[in-house]
Order: sequence, then structure tokens, then C-alpha cells
Amino acid sequence: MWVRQVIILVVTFLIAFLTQNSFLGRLGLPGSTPDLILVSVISVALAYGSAVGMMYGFAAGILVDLAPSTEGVIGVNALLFMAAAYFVGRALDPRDRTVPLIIGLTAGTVGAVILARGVIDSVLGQPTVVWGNMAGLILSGAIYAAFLAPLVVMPVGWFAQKFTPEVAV
Amino acid sequence: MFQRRARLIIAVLIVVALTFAILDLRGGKGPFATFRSVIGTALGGVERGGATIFSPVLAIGDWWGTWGDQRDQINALQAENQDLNQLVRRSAEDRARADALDGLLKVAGAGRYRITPAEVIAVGPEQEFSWTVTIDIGTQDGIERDMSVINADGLVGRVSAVHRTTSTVVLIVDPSMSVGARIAGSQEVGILSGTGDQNSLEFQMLDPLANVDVGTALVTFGSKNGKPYAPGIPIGEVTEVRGTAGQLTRVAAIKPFARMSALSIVGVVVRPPRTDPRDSVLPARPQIATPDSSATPDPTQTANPGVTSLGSWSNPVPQPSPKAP
Repeated sequence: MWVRQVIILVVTFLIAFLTQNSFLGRLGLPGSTPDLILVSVISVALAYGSAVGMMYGFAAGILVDLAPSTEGVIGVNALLFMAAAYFVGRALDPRDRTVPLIIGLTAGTVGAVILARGVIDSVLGQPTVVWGNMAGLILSGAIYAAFLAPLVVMPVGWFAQKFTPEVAV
Repeated sequence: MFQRRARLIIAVLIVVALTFAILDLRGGKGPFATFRSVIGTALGGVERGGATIFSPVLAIGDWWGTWGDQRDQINALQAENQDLNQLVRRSAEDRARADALDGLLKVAGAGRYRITPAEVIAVGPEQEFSWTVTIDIGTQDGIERDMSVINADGLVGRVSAVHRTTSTVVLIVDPSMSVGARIAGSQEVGILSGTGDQNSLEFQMLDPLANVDVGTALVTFGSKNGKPYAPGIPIGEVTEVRGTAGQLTRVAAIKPFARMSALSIVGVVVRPPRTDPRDSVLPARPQIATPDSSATPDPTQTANPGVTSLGSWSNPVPQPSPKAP
């Protein structure tokens, strides 16, 4: 049970990480880069609940912070992803999950995380935050997340139900 | 809510994340330098693998993105190529035109004709059985009916109709044309008639007993006031003499110097020379046709300016007439 769950989570992260850094980031889309890793965190939180989602979010955030081409403060993404997983896992009762609700929740969460990251980076004195672009970044990030949500949340939920039905919610 | 164990783990993770952040914020290399480089190396490898996987997909995106640009570039290059080709072709044509004008100028200089250059812009339809061309000058250039038309090689024809900006020229090969001609060197005169064959004109001599050699050249005899033919213009050379001496129908076949099928730059003789240049214009007599080294302008030329109208020019260095009439 544990092993299968860990495998699912590791594979989910690797696919999300690869696709985001090697494909979505290089597409050169306007606005923010589609945050597939955050969407995967939301998916895991929806599939396994807040606790597992927060652990996955911590691991994913630390790895994102340490990975090449990221120059943020280590731990910030981990905290943000944990907060997102906590919120998402608590916000929706598993019984009334519908596709539009999931899409809206994902888009809103991603937008909120982008805003929170900007606030935290500014508070921590990172000079890279340009507040003039913030509205466009939040809007584009939310739109991209809305498109990604059904493509990620549904498969992750399906795999969770299929291979680890004991822990899936 | 959370189980006890999960709560504990999450609390630990939050503390760890905060610790990481604080430690990282302290700056310097910190304890994360090694950690970061190890993770970075591992994930960098993963990223590189991902790049290999996704590169073809991204290349399609690039291909679509540059498709329009490349098409524009191809169009621009094709247009440029066309322009350059046109330029090359035009420069060859310009050179030919310059040569033709040069030759015309020499002829005009040798014969002291005042000419207005023109270009053949249309050729009359052959099914009309007449040999006519249209040139691009008319009354506003001072052209009048019955003026002689020459080119660098010799006589071309005469102006048969004048309009405001164009004129019609009947070529000497037209069957309706007859030109008073004189055999160069001798004083034999006769009537040259067109036959419709552009390589063969008929020359009927007034003196049936005259001796004509194949290869001798013909020049115009000249008309009153130089109309329709100015004197001394080269016409052609004798290629064949038909009939024997004494016969009434003794004619010579003449091949005209000017190629009637390849006319481009011609000159209209707007004023004939005051004196008959006789044979001096003929290409076979270059030692007479070469200009005098004392290139002083002839006062008779400068005394009569303004005969040509706008767009025409006269020979700048007139040559002395070798023979008095």
C-alpha cells in the first residue's frame, strides 16, 4: 500500500516536473508559466486528502526550490504548496466534487499562490518581484491552471482509486 | 481531522521548510550549496532527458512560428531576384541602345545631318502588305511629313504621317516606296523601289548602258529641301545585276544596310546638310568619314540654332564636307 502510493506520487511529480520545465516553460506562452507542479499538488490533495497532499507539497516544493533554473529562497515553495494542499484538501467535500468546481478551485488556488509568492518574496527582500506584472501573472496562471486541472486531477484521482483504494478519498 | 501522526509529520515539515528558508536567507554559500548542487545535478539530468523528449514537439511549435516568417523571406528574396534579373537584362538592352545611338550620332556627324533620335515603338501589321513602323516623336518634337529616317547603318524610310507624339514611318522596303539613288563613286542615278522583301530592293538605272559592279554602295540622290530624302544617306549595296547592258529592264538588286526587321533607335533628319555629303557617310570610306582633328564648330551650324525642337539634338562636332557640290 505505502509503496504503491509512493510510486504514484513520485511518478506524478516526475511527469509534472519534466513537462513543466522541459515543455511548458519553453513554449513561451504569454504571462506566467503554467504551474503544472502546483496543479499536481492540488491533485494529490484532492486524491489523498490534506495530510498526504501537504507531505507531497513539501517534497515537491523543496525539490522545485533546489532544482536548476529556480533561484528563490529554499522552503518558500514548500510552505506555499503545503498551504495550498491544506486548503484544497479541506475546501471540497469528496462527495460533491464536480468538474467545474475542481477547475474553479484549482484556478483560484494557483492565482492565490502566485500572489502569496509575490508577497513573501517581497517581504523577504527578493528584488525580482515586479508588481506591475502581478495582475497579468495571476490571471494567466489561473487560466492555464484551469486548462490543466481536468487533465491532471482526473488521472491522478483515477490512479489513486485504482491502485491505492484504501487511502484514496 | 488529521491523525496524530500526520499532524506531527506536517508540523515537522513546516518547521523544516521555515528553517530552510531562514538558513537560505542568511546568505552566503550556506549549508545548502552542496545539497543544491546534488539535487540540481540529478534534476538537471532529468530536465535534459525531458528536453530530448520534448524537443521534437517544441520544434513543431518553432516550425509553425517561423513558417510565416520564412514564407515572407522567400517572397522578399524572389522579388529582389526578379528586380536584379530585370536590371541585368535592362543593362544589356541599355548598352545596345547606347551603341545604336552612338552609331546614329556618327552617321549624323559624318553627313552633317541634324537629327532627332527616336525609338520604334510599334511595327505595322504584316498582313497589310506595307512596311511601316511607328516612332515615339511627333509634331511637338518638330517632326514633319516626308522627313528622312535613318539609323546607324543607313536609310530606313520616310515619315508618312505625323501625330502629336508619334509618327508613322514607311520603310524603304515597302513596295510603294521609290527613292532616287546614286551609285557611290560614279554619277549614275536611278530609282530604287521597294519589293516587300527586306533583303532585296530593286534599283532601276536611268542609263541602261552604265556599268555596275556587285558590292558598290548606293546613297540617296537627295530631293528638294531634303524632302522626302536628304542627300548622301547610305542605302545599301549591289548584290546582283540582272539583265545585260543595253536592255531596257536592267535592274540591280540592292541589299539595304539597315536591317528592317531589327529597328530600334532611329533618327529623323530634321534638317538636311547645306551641301550634299555625297559618299562621305558610307561605311566603306572611313578615311573620309573620320572627323577632322580641328574640331571647331562650323559657323553654319551655330548660325542656325533652334531648328530642332525640344528633345532633339544636333551633332556637336560637325565634320567638314569633303566635296563641294
